[in-house]
Amino acid sequence: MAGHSGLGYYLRRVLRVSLETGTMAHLLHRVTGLLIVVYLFLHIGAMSYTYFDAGSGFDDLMATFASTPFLIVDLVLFAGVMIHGLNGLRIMLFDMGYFSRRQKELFWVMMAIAATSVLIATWLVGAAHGWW
Amino acid sequence: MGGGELQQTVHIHASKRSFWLWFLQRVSSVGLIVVLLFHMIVLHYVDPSAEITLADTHVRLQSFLFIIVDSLLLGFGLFHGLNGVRNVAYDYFPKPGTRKAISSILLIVGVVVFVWGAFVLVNLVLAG
Amino acid sequence: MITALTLQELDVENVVLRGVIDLVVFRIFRFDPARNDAPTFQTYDLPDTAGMTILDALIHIKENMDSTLSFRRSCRSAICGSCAICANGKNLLACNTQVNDLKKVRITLEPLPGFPMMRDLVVDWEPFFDQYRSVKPYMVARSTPPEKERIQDQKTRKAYDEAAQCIMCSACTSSCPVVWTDGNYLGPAALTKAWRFVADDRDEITRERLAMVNNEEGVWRCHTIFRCTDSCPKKIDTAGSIESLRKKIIWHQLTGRI
Repeated sequence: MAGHSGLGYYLRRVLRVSLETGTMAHLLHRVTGLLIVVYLFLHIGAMSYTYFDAGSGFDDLMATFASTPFLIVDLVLFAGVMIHGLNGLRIMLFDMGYFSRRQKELFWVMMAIAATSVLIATWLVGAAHGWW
Repeated sequence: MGGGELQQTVHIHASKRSFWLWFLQRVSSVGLIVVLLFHMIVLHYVDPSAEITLADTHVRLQSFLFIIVDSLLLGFGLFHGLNGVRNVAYDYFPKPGTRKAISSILLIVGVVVFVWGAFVLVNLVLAG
Repeated sequence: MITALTLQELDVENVVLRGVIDLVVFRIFRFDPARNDAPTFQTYDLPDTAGMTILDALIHIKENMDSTLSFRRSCRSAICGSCAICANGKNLLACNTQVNDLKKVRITLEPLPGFPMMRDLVVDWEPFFDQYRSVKPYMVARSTPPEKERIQDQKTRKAYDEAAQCIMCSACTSSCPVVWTDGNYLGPAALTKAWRFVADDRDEITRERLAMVNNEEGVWRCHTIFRCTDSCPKKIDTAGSIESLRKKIIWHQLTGRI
């Protein structure tokens, strides 16, 4: 008889209501990390455009990226990078032997910093593109 | 895949590779914090209304600093990202054979994309 | 008085118990491999749970309501580690957790995750103890002992004070999401045990111990999720112990001692 284990069991359990801070931080770290990897490949792909088209193709592409939907995607990416980076900092503090007993508080401190920076970035981008 | 039940295993051999991959994941993360912040702030948030053009990018890449930052970004980013994917995949695919396949594929992808990225970067610096 | 029926009608999940609700519904995981194809949940209503531990409730159910219910217990005083179970998704010792402290009117009891199931709340611990044995959970001192005892100062003793409290209930290892999908990972209990002897200066095989955990399925598989630390009934910072092991290995690696 299969045990209470395996990938299917993992997915069912890890996403349950008993999601506490440490697990949430871990899952956020994973999801944001994987999203950033996908973006990294898209980014390298977009930059490759400069090799294939020395004309105005690249400039047109960049102009498209400056439109509102893409700017929102940019801000989501920025949020992902801030969450991943600050939680990464949190993990490295544990690695150095600090805050192991304060991991939950540290998570919320990091997320507060991330939220603030995303708000500031949104305000800057919005102001530059006449959102308000 | 799956088969996550605890199995009897005796680990007596140290694996220098797993140590170094873990350690370099930390080193590259510190590098990325510096380089990525620089990249994002300078390109997108100092003047968010500025439009990125090929000509500007070419001019910017004449600066040694930007060449270094962009190369490090490519290297650190690929290593940190793909080694991260490896860490995630290893959790969910415990079989040695599957792991070996995943590692090899990620290594090949990493090397190919790094070479291609470096090629594009050099092309940007020289030709614009 | 709120009855079982009104409880189901209201679907109350988060009512503070004390003084408000005097009935708790236990949803207990039932599985007998000889009779059932798949596990089911059976509910038992228990009035007046004030002052009752989860283990008291289980014993009450077994003695008065359903003698077929299987669970493990021995000392009833949080020292043997036999009664570790998963209550409302959190691993704990049934014997030192008050039912009302969970502050829920429905309590789901399951066997510990990550281990093979045997029957009802009983899991097969053999794989867990295999992992545990593989880190040599005993002191190895081959040098000639002094006339009386091997002296250790208080400061060194303090380094593994926490780790030495482990009662091997497996709540930490069972709570780890990495263990659920990668059964070869040593897990927090075995790694904390390794740290307990690495930190002990009377032990003489530190380098061998570090080599044992310095691999893909050892300390580097830990992602500091802290579920282990959260679920330890003895309040051991098991994730912190793994980090201490890592720090030691890093210094040994970087200074060429491995």
